[in-house]
Amino acid sequence: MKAVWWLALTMTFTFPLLTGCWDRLEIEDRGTILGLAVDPVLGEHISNLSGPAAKSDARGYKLTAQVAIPGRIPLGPGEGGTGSPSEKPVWVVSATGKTIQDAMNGLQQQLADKVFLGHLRVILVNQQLANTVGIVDIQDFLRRNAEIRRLAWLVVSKGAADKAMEAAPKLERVPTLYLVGTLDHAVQMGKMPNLFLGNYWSVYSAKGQEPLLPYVSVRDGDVIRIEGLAAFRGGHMVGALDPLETASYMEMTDQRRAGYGIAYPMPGDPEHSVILRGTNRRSRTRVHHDGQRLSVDVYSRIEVNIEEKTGTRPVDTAIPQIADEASQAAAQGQLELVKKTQGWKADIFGIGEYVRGRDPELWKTISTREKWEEIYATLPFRTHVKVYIRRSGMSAR
Amino acid sequence: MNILGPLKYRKANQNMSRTQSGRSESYPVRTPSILLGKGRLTKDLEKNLAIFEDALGENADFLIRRFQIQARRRRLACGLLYLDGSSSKSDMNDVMKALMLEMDQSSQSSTKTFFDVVVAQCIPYADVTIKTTALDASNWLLSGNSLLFLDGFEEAIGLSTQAFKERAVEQPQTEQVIQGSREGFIESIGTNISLLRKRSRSSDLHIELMQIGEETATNVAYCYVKGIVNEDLVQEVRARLERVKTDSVYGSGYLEQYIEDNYYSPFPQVQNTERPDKAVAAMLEGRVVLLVDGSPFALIVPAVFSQFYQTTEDYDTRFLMASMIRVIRLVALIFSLVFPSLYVSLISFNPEMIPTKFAVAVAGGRAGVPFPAIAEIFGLELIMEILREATIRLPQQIGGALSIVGVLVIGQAAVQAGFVSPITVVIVALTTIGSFATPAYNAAIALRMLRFPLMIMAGMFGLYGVMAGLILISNHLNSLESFGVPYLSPAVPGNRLGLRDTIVRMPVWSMTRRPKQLQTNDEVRVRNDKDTARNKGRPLSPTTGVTRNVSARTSREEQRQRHE
Amino acid sequence: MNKPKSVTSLQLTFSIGTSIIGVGILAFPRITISLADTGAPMTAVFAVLCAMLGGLVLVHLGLAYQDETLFEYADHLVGRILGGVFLFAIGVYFLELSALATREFGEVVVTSVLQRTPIPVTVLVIVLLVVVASRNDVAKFTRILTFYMPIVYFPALVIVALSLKNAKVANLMPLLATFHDVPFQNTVLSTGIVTALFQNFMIAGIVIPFMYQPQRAKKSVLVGIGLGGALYVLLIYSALSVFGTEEMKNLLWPTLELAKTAAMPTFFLERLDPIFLAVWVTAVFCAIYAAYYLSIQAFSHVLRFQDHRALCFMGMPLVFTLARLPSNIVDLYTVTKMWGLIGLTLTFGYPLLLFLIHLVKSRHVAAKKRPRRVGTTS
Repeated sequence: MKAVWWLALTMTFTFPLLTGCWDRLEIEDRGTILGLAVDPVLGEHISNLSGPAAKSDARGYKLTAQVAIPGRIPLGPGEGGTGSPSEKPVWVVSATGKTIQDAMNGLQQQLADKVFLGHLRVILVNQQLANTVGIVDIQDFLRRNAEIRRLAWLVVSKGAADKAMEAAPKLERVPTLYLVGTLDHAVQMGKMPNLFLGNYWSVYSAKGQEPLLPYVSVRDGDVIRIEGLAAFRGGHMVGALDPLETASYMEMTDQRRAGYGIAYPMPGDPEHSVILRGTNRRSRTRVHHDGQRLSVDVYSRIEVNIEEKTGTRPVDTAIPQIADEASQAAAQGQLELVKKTQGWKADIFGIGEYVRGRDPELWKTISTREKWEEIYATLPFRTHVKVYIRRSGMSAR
Repeated sequence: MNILGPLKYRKANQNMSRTQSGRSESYPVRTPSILLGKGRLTKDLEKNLAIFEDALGENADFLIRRFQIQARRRRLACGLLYLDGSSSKSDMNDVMKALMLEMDQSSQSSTKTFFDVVVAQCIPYADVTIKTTALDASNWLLSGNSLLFLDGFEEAIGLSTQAFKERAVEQPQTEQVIQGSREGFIESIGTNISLLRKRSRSSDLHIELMQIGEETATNVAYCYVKGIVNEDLVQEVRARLERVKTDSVYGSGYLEQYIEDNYYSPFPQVQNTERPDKAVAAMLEGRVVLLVDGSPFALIVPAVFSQFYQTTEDYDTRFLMASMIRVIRLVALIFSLVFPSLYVSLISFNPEMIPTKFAVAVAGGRAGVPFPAIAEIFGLELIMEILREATIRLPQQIGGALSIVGVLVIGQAAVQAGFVSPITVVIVALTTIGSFATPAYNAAIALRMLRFPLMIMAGMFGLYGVMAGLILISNHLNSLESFGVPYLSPAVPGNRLGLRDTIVRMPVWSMTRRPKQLQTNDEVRVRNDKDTARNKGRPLSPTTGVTRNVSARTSREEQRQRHE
Repeated sequence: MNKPKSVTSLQLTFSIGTSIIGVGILAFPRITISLADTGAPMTAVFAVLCAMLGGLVLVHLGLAYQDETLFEYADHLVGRILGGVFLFAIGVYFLELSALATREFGEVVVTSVLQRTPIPVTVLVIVLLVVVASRNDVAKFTRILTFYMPIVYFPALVIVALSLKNAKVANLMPLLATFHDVPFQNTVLSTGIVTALFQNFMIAGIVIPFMYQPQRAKKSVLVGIGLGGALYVLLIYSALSVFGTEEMKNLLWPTLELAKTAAMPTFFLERLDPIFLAVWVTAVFCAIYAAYYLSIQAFSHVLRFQDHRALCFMGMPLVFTLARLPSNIVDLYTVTKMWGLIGLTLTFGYPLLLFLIHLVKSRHVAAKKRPRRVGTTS
């Protein structure tokens, strides 16, 4: 019985403390931001809410956010719901600031509801910004905020990023979700490696590898196109990989799922071509150290299907030649990609990490990022590609 | 005497009514029980009858039939005392007929007293006892039996003519099964015991009797299988029953509250069942079954948590199906406990967990609702509980209609009126249905009630609060014991064999041991489990009918050859 | 003292396995990796071995005095006064340990889930849970810990399995960095820090006398520590393979980030980290519960209480106050690290001391008496 009194006493003292729902914030009372675009500020006035001390490498940032409007997106199959098609389901708000958080504060000023980043799926960064000041400050803001998903997409956009926020694609009511869908499907189809935000962070921190980010562009206001990959070095964008180079990159980094259809000239018939679509890839990277210099061998094998052929020459007899030709072309493509990245001094393949892992003694002599970049720029690569043509579709010839 | 004999009257050493010590004696009220206690039986019939007449004569149902019998050439006055309606008239008629008309004097031995002759030779009735004191006799009488007094003898002949009205054995209402026995306990303890006997013919089945309640003198039987049950358990049950000192026991639920371990706990620590097959199965597992007169529910002790989501049907169905159904039931149980609080914490605290599209849609659904999610769901759950309670209380004809109307009208109207969101209604409906899937009413109601504090915790701390609440509940479950058996056994403390019958149900032949936590005397339940599993012959050929005939013929020929 | 024998060996295994998984699992990959680079998983393995050694000592003592708890036979071995001093130190140590754990827990919750809820409130909730639960006796104590074992291990394993998708083998290399370029003192320090997280295995000292079959205690303790250790090693390996050493140094709670990286693509829930945090509450509860229970038992033995229950509530304000002491999160981790390392001398040194005295005494007794077996009770 004494115990009961004790319990009662503690409860009377502690329960008043427990009354209150500090963190309760209903889902409809949150300013749910689905997508965020970061642009440099050009000429306009920069609002500054966080005090004059706010400074960053950039002159200022302009944030454009896509805020979901509750009730505009009905659940259920095509009911139409309350909102007519002319009403946009999202609201696009923008604000400027000296730093990202400064701009974020500006954004909050315009929104009655508390900004909620838990559903932030895409962060678009203007290429111009990525090229000049880099994205170090942007990603620090993202890293510190507990609401941000590690699986969100950080994307570089060719041209103004806020246009993507305004875009109104036909297939999906919420533009951001369309963009997310585009990227997710590209990964599923093997057209792009899965380079989400967390991946960027991990690679960015690593000393022996440089990160890549998806690279998109907005055309005609509502078509969002994947342009390839943006390569970074030290937080600055140094160049871009086009889709074919992306394919080479994926070939070299052992990304199993292949999805590119690449055209090769028909052997003996230069006027016509075959398109081969990869299905499966394997690759191995070996780094050799012959006393003085490092050299890299990349062995890759690609399984492909014939997807299309032009002209009348039957394909069944030409398969070995096509395979040979494709192997050579692919190896050449890989070498060109390597040349390009060596020009940027950006080790996107993670050769440095390989060296660090396999030969820690050697890495001790390198140990800094800058030194590795110098070594990488002159690293001799050899690429060995073997293409296997497995199937030719429903057609026998 | 039949086995129900002792059940039919109060024990001789017990007084009818409150003890004649202490306060009651200071009052000059001469209660019938005091009168009867003082009464002495004499050889004079009229005096004997007067004792009862004085004490009980004012009762409308107390009747005395005076008659005479002729024996050894003299007339003997007799008095038959009985309670109208409680005694079987046809039984009494038979006795009187035998005494008044068919007394065969030729065969009567002359060495015995007349009284003995009457008892031994003239009453063609199975159940007869001799009562020597007025108190004992009146207890017998008030249990619905009748007393026969013979002039000139001090003893009364007690005829067991008890005939309380009882309903027929029917299908149990609370534990209905699709496949399995349709018999349920009824209010009469005698019938209930016979239902137990019917299912277990073992001589080890022990049924011991006790009367609890000073006024009601309710018969309570505790039954167990000797040789299986742990004797300490029986001792403890007996001790707990003996410690019950009260004026009345109305039913098994009433008794349960006297003998349970932890009365603060929302969880039932005693199982009750309406099904004799379940009771027998429990006894054969090494548990003790308590039957209370006047209640169609048997109590099973000790009870562990897993018993409350198991049904007898589980064992009647093939094991794969039974396991799946049991898992579904468990899921429903958990649903009914945590669903609303999870909803609250997802909506109000962690919306980032819901898929983006769905989250935006939910926000849309909630956009017009003026209350926070916690108030919304708390209110709706409360309405649901009221509705459910109302449905139980209403007459059956209206009840069905109301529940449908209630759900449809309140749900639909609430959504249309815009004070709850459609998803809330879905959640509440799921919770309610989930709680109906739990077979044991008392366990279901515990979880149903616990979801309210969980909701409050969710409203305060979101997922963290829910988790804290769940930890509190499971800590409590872990520290709970029923008659010394850990409540969550056989899961905690773990028992490999016991786990075969906890979340899933393995084939019956594989459950070779009785529950270990009951520490039974004889652990082995199935002795040849491996044999049952493997040695299955193939009496019929697996292929076509033709070969089957051939094989049958060859085997017949073989047999013939062997005979020759 | 009469002790009901009701704890099975499996229960001891699971109890130890559960109680050593605590708040530490969130931060320890960062701390160890910043010290030992890719050698950190190795140091975790060393730590498991160290803890096992400590456990063995405890079991040996427990078997020699099968009817007495760690505190009781300590009285026989070193005397009541010295034993009392040691016990008091142990009590204070585990009390502070549970206080630090609650604080760390509060910090995690406040940073990642309940950002506006005052930290005393979140701390109070978990302290209340622990205090109420610590009123149980030892049998129920082990039962509670046993019950949570799957709840603690399963989500962690799911997170590990889901994060494997993003794992990179290169991040793990070089596997044996401990022997390459990591300074020796860093390896030792890192091992020590991880071992400090395992200190709750001390509960074996109070559980063994309640065991049904004490002779199985050795296996139970080893397997229990092994289970917990395996989870630690698994977590650090998967965190390392996903993040790499450099990124790991940036992450305050790498294991939580690991949960953020894991996603079930076609599932009702998009993010698993709040779920992970919620379930992790049970792990934290178990760890704090074990530490608090140990400390309460130690105190009640020092103060010669019949029943430890009276102390349960008195410990609460203490824990609460101690939890508020560290001024910020960096401070908190410094204190935790230091305290853990200091405690190692206590939790390992003290049983070792007892063990040595026991050896000397039993030799002595054996020399005196002819029957060489030392009686189980003294």
